[in-house]
Amino acid sequence: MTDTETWKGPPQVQELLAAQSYIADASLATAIFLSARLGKPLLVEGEPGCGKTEIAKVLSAATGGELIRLQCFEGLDSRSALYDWDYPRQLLMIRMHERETATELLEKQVFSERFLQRGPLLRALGGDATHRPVLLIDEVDRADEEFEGLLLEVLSDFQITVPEIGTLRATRPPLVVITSNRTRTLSDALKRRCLYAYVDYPDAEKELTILRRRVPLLDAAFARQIVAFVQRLRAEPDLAKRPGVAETLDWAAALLTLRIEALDPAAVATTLGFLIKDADDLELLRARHAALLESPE
Amino acid sequence: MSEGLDPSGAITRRLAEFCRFVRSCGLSVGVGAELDLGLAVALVDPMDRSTFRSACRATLAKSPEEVELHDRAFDAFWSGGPSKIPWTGTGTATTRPSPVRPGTRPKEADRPARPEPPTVSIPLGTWSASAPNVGHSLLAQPEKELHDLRDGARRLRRRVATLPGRRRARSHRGGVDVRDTLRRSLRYGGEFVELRRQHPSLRRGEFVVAWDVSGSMREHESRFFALVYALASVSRRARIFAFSTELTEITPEVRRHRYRRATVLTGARIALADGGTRIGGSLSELFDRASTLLRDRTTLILLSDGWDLGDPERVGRELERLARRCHAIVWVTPYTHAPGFEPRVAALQSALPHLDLLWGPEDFGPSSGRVRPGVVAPDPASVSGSTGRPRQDPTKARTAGKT
Repeated sequence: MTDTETWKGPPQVQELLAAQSYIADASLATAIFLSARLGKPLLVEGEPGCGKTEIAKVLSAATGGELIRLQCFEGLDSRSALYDWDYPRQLLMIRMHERETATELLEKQVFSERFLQRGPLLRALGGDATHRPVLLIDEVDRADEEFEGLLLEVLSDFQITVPEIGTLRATRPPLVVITSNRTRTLSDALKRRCLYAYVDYPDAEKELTILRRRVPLLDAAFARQIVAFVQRLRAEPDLAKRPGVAETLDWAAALLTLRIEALDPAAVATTLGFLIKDADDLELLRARHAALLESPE
Repeated sequence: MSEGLDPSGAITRRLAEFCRFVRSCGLSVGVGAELDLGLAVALVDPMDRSTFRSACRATLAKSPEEVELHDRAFDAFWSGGPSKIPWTGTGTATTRPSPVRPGTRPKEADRPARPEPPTVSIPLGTWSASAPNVGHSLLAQPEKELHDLRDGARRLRRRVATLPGRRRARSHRGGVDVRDTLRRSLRYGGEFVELRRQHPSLRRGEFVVAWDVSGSMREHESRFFALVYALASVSRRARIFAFSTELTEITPEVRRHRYRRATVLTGARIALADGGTRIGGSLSELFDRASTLLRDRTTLILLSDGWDLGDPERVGRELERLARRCHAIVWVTPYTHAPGFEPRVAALQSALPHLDLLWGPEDFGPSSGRVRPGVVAPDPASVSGSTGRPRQDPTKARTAGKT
């Protein structure tokens, strides 16, 4: 586990990630390196299943920092993301002390950090000095635009203002990874505060390396066959959802579990559901997969 | 960059020139990003071209399109000076565009400090005798009309929002909101004076708008652009595409600017997408490019007169595919309310079974606060495709969804 301050350059980041079985190209490693050293959030966009979320997980493992995840969804509000007051306990406190304590004093006690329920963003600001926590804001495009506004103060100044207590600042800014599947365009204000990296589908060579790392029991020739098939599948027109690396890994693991040692039309037909997650696509490929299997690499 | 690392300031100057060049190529680079680049270059080895390029990319580009543009600008600038950007897109004629970028004044572009504008190849699209390949000059419509269209767009949005969402809203009915009841009780010293209730609010409808900008729509384009603008302004996540023989996303031009400015910018942008119509092909491209946008809450709004140079059957096939993914499909044609109108155009006939509503722009206008029913597809109860969802009677879409 290394401190980000001691990172020498992008090659070291590549090595650290590779040690966690994450294969990053030089461009992504540079973006991660700069994000850590400049203390700026890293916005990662790309197709689903290409390893965006995984970046935060491996960074957490590589640096020893706690992984704090904020999964975004429509309707996500400040109470879930920042903080909320523990109302039942506050109520108990009021009931217990309402007779012997002055109202102002009681109010001060009730609205203190003791009764503050910290959300992921607030927890990320409270990391210790040695290990920077890794804050993963996952699928930010699913959240409402108002929520992006909420993130701005946190991401630019790493501070959160609680009216009853004051402004809480991070002793050391966390490593922030924001992922987006581009289902909507993010605001310029948010993008301006971030460094940017785009994770595309990997080429065959990189995907083979990932597959060999993640599913080491797979035979080398079989792994090549799997990767070649997936690459051809991605090149198919008319697919609504192309398989990502996550699907390739799931499929390889399934084939291994089923003790299938070479791809044939029957094996592909029975396991195609691991790669394709859309009913129309499945229907389309049921007719084509045999031809795909036979087409030259 | 710190003074110690660059005592003469030569690298900093060159970086500033690069940022200026990148801006002139169309990348929106703010001062913050420029400062980030300076700091980043101090941390990486600027002599390592690949790492230096990655650092520039991470700090200056903010989307895959910008990444591509940045990479071309980087190669052009750092390989002998800011002269040309090689354009590898498909297409034919190479031309030197006007030095005026869309949205900039000529004076600004003529400043001597600005690097020479890049040479680009403009993809012209498929030639069509019915549509001249010249630019669109959209005219701004009166404020009153825009206001009315916005009201109509809002009514449409409300009408198609029929699915319960994850958000909950305060209400007199529904389940008890324990947290809010507790919070409210603090006002009364912990006494539960009133029960607070909540129920799921309806999901906001999302719009994906596909706007036909081919020659046959030329006489309606200014009015239709006002409608496009109105639709974009009432839906937070609206994505706007213009199509003729190919599909062009114009969301940034429409959404980020005031109406008059958006009119100018969009007119300049869609000039490249002119020339004939291939509705089926464009819908197929929309499906490929925007499949993540097409969800159970998405309403696809197609603005077209239905004149198509492509295969009309393909329009039906593509709409059937889209109908399976979207919540509703609304086709807006300029002639719906013309006397004696019947959807006889082949593409429109092929599309009818998959439409929820066939509207005209007049349906977005003032209508005494009520949504006009629109023309109903011939067989609204028909099922689109073997696995398709049953199409609703467009006039009952709202009430059917609520129950």
